[in-house]
Amino acid sequence: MSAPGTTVSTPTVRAGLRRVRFWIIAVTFLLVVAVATLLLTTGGGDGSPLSPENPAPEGSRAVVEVLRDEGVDVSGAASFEQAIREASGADVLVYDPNNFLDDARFDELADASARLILVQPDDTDLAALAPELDEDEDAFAPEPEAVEPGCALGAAEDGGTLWLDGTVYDTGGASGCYELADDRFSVVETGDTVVLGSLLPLQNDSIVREGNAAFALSLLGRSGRLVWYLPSPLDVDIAEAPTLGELTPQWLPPASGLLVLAGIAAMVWRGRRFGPLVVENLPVVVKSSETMEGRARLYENSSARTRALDALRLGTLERLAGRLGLPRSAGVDEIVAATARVLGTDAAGLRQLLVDRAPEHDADLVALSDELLRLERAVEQATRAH
Amino acid sequence: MTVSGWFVLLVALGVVPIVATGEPLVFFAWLALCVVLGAVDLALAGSPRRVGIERQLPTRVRLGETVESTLLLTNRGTRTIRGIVRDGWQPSAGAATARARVDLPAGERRAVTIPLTPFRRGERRAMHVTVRSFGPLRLAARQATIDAPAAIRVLPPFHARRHLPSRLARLRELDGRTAVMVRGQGTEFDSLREYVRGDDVRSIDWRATARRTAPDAAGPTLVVRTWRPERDRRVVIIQDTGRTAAARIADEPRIDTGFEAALLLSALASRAGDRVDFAMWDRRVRGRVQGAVGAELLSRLVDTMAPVEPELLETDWSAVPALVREITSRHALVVLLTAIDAPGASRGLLSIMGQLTRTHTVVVASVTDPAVLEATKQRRDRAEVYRAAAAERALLDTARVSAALRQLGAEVVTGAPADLPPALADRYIALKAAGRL
Repeated sequence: MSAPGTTVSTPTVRAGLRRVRFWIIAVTFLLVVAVATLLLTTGGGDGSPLSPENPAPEGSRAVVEVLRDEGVDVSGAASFEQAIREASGADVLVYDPNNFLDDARFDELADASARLILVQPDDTDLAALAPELDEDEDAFAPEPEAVEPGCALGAAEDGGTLWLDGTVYDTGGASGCYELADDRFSVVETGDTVVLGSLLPLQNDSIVREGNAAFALSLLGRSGRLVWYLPSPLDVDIAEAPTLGELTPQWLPPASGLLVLAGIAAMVWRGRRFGPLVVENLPVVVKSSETMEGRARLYENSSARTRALDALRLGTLERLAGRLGLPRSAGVDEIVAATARVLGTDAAGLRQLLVDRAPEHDADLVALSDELLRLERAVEQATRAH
Repeated sequence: MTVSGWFVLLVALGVVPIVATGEPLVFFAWLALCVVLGAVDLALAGSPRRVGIERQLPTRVRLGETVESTLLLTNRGTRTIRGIVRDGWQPSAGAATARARVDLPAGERRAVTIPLTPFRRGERRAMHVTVRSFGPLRLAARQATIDAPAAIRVLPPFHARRHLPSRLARLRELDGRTAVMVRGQGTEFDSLREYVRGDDVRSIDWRATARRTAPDAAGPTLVVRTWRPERDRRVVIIQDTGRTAAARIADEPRIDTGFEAALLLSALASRAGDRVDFAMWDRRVRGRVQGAVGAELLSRLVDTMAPVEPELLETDWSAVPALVREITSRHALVVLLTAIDAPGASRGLLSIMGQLTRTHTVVVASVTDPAVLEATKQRRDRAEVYRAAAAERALLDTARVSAALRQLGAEVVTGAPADLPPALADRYIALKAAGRL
């Protein structure tokens, strides 16, 4: 009989909570700090590039505020419908890097507005509005540089030299402004559409470089009313094709969700340990023959043929002496002589095998070792016959 | 807290109504159902914290034998506990089943019996008992681990005792033998009896014959003296528990072979009327049995040996003569159970051998590795020839150390793990017959 077990080592729920209380408090505190920092630093504005509310370096709040101070009516459009509603008689600035708008909507926008300012449009956007322009991706300018206008666009005359980078367009021989590469222009005006290949003239951090500010104010403030439209995923025209969501049956999301939960339950079922592990000191396992194996590898790696053969010879000599009834103190010559007598062979040859011959290579060593074994067997047979 | 496979199945079964109705709301309804059922089941499960545990366990078991470990579980709670119990034994305690089902009504007691077949010598421990109690629906379970320490001492197996009867028979043959070729101080006069054919004529006691012979008898009745081996000799067994004792030969550590040899020799010597003392030594005394006789000797020996494992350090031989002197100052048979290895490693042993052999008869017993002997004969290719050479070198080293020990006056007994205990017993009998104890 041993002492009855009364101490429960599993903590109760309350004790468990108390033990991790510090961590709960610490994690909550860190979360609060992180959220607060995030709110303070972003200032509640929209974080996307060219957003009129974004005060970050890549935003455009600066130019929008200045335009408003100058009496331009700048309105930010959150959706395509709103942009269309406010577009009549106004300039519309569109920046759609993710291609949310299709050709039809661009056309609709161009029809509704007085003038369309496209910021960094690509070939799919240009196909609808200015098919004579081509985006030249090979000539893309990754590093900003100061560029002379070299054209008669009003805003370009106001701005003069600009600080530009980004996409350039092939006008197909027609004129353009700000030639970043040979016949590749950053600003192009065709009809009621102005194409601007660089974001720099509009962004907060680069608007003060060269003539960027004058250029932007002149370009955007011409008509006195500006719609600043950044398309969002909601503006995708969904009437065209059935989406993935419409194709999947209605029960699939809840069913797969349930199976995921069942999987989690199965993890708890199989993974819950049935009490703590029991520790045990394991014995060291040292094989006694390990030193022998190690020595064998050493002999082999250093090709210690003579040394290895000597060991084999000494073993053979000892066994021969025992078999021939010689005393322990018997010398090599006595053993050789006695062996030669028993086998009736030449003592000199035996001496060669047992003492003198040096192995030239490993094959020699193996041959000699075989000879030693044969000799032992011969002596064994000869002495047994006696 | 945990859940059962039934709970997983219940959750997964929710797919059926969801697919059938195609209604996403069913998902939440089913989830709520599962959570409610699980919570109810959990609330209705008997508390595993209120289980009282008692153990019934023998304190000792011989290695290789099976004992039953019984857990007495008392439900001190108010609800029935249906569930599983796990007894937390160390793996080498060899518990047949780690888990057992229990059905424990409130206020009642049940026994759970688990057979233990330990497979390692020493102190085997259990730490705790874990109870998992399922609710009536068997969906969810509460779990608690209750401290319930226990230990069982696993004794050396003493397989060598099968050699004991034959050795005892040979010991009896020594008794009353007339022809003791070497009459040393170890033999003493026993009795006189009539001559029978085959007795050594040198042991005829002529004076007694003359006294016994009646004047009118036809011929004289010859009387011989008989001798018996001297009793009450001292046998001191020292087991080396240093690093060499950890080496495994034929999957048995040297120390275990040494224990077997020591047990056989002790059993034999105590039957022969000699006093056996035993000590285990590396750099300190790891265990000691002194002054025990008869059946108590063996039980104390196995008890002392059981928890001892080799230390991974070099044995300090210089203190061994003092250790022997501490045990006995008289002449004794000192048996050193150690390893005879390379000359360098055996220097400590050789340096004290002279001191020991001056006052005692010393036997050094060492296990030899049959694999080494086997390796000398395998010489088919280059690698094997080098291996054979290394094996020969090892054998030569052993032979050199053995020769040095013999030169210093000690006896050397070597053998494979299975052969060493009987070989040591035979050497003891031979020494006794020769009166060298």
